[in-house]
Amino acid sequence: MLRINNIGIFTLLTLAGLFLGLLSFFDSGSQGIILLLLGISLGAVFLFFQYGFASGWRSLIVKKNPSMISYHFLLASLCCIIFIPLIELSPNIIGSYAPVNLSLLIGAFIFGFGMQLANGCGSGVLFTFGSGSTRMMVALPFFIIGSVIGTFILPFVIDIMSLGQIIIAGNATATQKTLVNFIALFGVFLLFHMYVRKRNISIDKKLLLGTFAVAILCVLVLIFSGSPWGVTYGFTLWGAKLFQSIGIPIESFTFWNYSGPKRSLEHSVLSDTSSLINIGMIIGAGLLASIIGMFSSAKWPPKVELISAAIGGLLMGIGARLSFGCNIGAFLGGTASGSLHGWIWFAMAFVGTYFGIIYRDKVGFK
Amino acid sequence: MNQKKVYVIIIILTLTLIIYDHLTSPVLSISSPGQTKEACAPCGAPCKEE
Repeated sequence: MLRINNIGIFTLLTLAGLFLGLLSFFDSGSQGIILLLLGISLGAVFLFFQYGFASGWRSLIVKKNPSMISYHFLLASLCCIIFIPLIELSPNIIGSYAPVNLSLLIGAFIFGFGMQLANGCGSGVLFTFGSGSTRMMVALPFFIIGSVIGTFILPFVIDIMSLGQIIIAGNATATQKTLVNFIALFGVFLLFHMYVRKRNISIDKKLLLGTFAVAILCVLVLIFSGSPWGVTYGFTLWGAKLFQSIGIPIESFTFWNYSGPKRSLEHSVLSDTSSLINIGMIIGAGLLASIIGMFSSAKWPPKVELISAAIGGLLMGIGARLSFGCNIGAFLGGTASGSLHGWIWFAMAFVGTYFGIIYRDKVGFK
Repeated sequence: MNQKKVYVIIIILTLTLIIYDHLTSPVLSISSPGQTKEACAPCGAPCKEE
């Protein structure tokens, strides 16, 4: 049942969704509307199941509870069963591959640190912003600014200590490659899961269900967009277009002359996969929040938390560009595609998270 | 300021900017930057040329 005080938000977001869906449909056909709907579903699912990365990682470090992080590996292992065969067999589907280099190490570390300051990762910022989080109203604009700053830096550092793309079991057949990657990802899930059982931590069945729901949506995104789901490039593009609108010659920077970014900068934001899904996520989370009464009515958090959110957003933006994505694009998309960079991203972001938690303690961030 | 008001302002502003951008920019097919030939990463950055 709709809560009366949220009908305004519900109406606004419904109109926004319908209008953008129609615009996208008229120009790009059914693909645009499908991707927007998948984004809406992702936003609703993430909010409903409270599917967080930042809190799950913190839970392991602070409470020695790997329950949530185990589901992240289960999610990646489920995705990899479908991702790798599709990537191998379909010429129209690409994996989330990226080079293993110095910028990956540094960027992932920065991202992990920033994620704890902002209290959310790429997807977390989107769905909590959609549901009215004041902290994310601060974190998101800084995330966008940070990701544009990242595009200025990336071309200068991308080749430093670069080993190029490393595909796990790269010379094997599609079946062997899927099996190797699945065993590795599912193995980590099992290790964490065994620890959960050993410590008698109760298994969260709702999150388990959420993991399957997110996995299905990730596979659908891959099928309908032709590439694994990624969050942060959308932010980068939004920022670049905003910078351009205030007279900053973004188009003359090296990154924006690479053919992919150049194409997206010159075209409508609604012709970019990541942007469409991001917009959908905000709408989906906001719609669900307004329907089931989860729309935030909290007051503005203390100044220290808002400043931390701003710094965290900025760092996540820079880190995401340097390390080729966030928990979704780099870790989930990378590991599920069989790319080594996904594993390295996880390790470095986890170290960053550790230091981010130390910072949170020091400034009294609850 | 009330957080709900800020939220509504951000959504309306964003929507206006998206529509403006959409109406003033060409639209081809929907794609990701990583789908270009020379892309070495999902953001479209190329690998070092050997």
